[in-house]
Amino acid sequence: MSDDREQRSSETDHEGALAEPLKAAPARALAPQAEGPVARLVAEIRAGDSPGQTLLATFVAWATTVAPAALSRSAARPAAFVAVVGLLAGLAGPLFRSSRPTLARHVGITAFLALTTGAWLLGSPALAPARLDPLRASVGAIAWGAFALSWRERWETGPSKPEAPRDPDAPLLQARSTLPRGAIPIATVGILAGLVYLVLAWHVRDGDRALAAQAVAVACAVAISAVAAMVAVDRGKRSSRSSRRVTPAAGKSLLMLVVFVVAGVAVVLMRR
Amino acid sequence: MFENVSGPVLPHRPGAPRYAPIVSRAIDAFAVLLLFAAATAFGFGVHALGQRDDFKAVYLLVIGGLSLRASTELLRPRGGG
Repeated sequence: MSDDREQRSSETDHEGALAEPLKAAPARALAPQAEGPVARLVAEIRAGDSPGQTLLATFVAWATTVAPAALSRSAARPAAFVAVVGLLAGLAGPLFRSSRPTLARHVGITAFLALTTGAWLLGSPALAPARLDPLRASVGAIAWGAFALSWRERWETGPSKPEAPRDPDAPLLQARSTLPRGAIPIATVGILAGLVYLVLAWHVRDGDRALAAQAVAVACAVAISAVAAMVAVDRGKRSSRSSRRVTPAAGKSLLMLVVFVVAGVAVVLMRR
Repeated sequence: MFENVSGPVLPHRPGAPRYAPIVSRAIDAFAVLLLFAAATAFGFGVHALGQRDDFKAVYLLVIGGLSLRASTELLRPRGGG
């Protein structure tokens, strides 16, 4: 009897522990709306939903990519004005994010990007490729990526589910199959080959050819990586009905390959 | 308790060619060889593109593509088991 009581009390405690986060979650969501703007900002910072990330990313992106173009001597005067207004919009948007999300997005994203584009157009002489600093451009690209990520929609995390009790007598789960021998070296060779193509493409100097080389290198890298992974895993698999054999489609592919190789050798011999 | 959802296991068809495991291993090895050949052909093809040797580049890229296709078909034939 006393065991039953203890069990019931422990179940009640367990349910209470489960219900606590459920009660706390709506309270946490409603709390910032009931207070003033400063208190709301402090609550958001404490809750981890700080607009500080967005503010920092906005400022860094503006400082590295917009300010040098709009505030330079060669830029027109309206460019500086538009750039500063754009910065104000970019910094003001995140502050309304929790209270008025739609307005915050219009100001912080739409208006900021529109004014930034305007500043770039007005300060276009400063954006000549010869005047671009690669380091600043890299930092700017990362900052714009951070800006995009900082405006992401945050997921509401619910209370974590309790883990199912483990059965001590249950046997360990074994993998149904293992990788064939040599799978990892084959996949590694495929990935390394893909990286080599990308490096080789950067050594192409000619402008038009470089663009084609980049596209070809990316396509080849993707193809070789995918097929290497497939070859690494599929080797050694046997059909339940028959052993592996050369199908007509495989024979056709091999025949095409042989024809092209022979044709290439013939052309080389004829040129000599 | 357990249902056989995949249907009955069919015995080997009489008259169908049986391939020894060594042949399967040889096909596996040949597929890996084709993969390495394709990797090499692609590498030289991209290099030839940079050397302004377009004919050689296109030829090597085609050879690499065909090698990859043959390698895939050998290991994972379409419509085959």
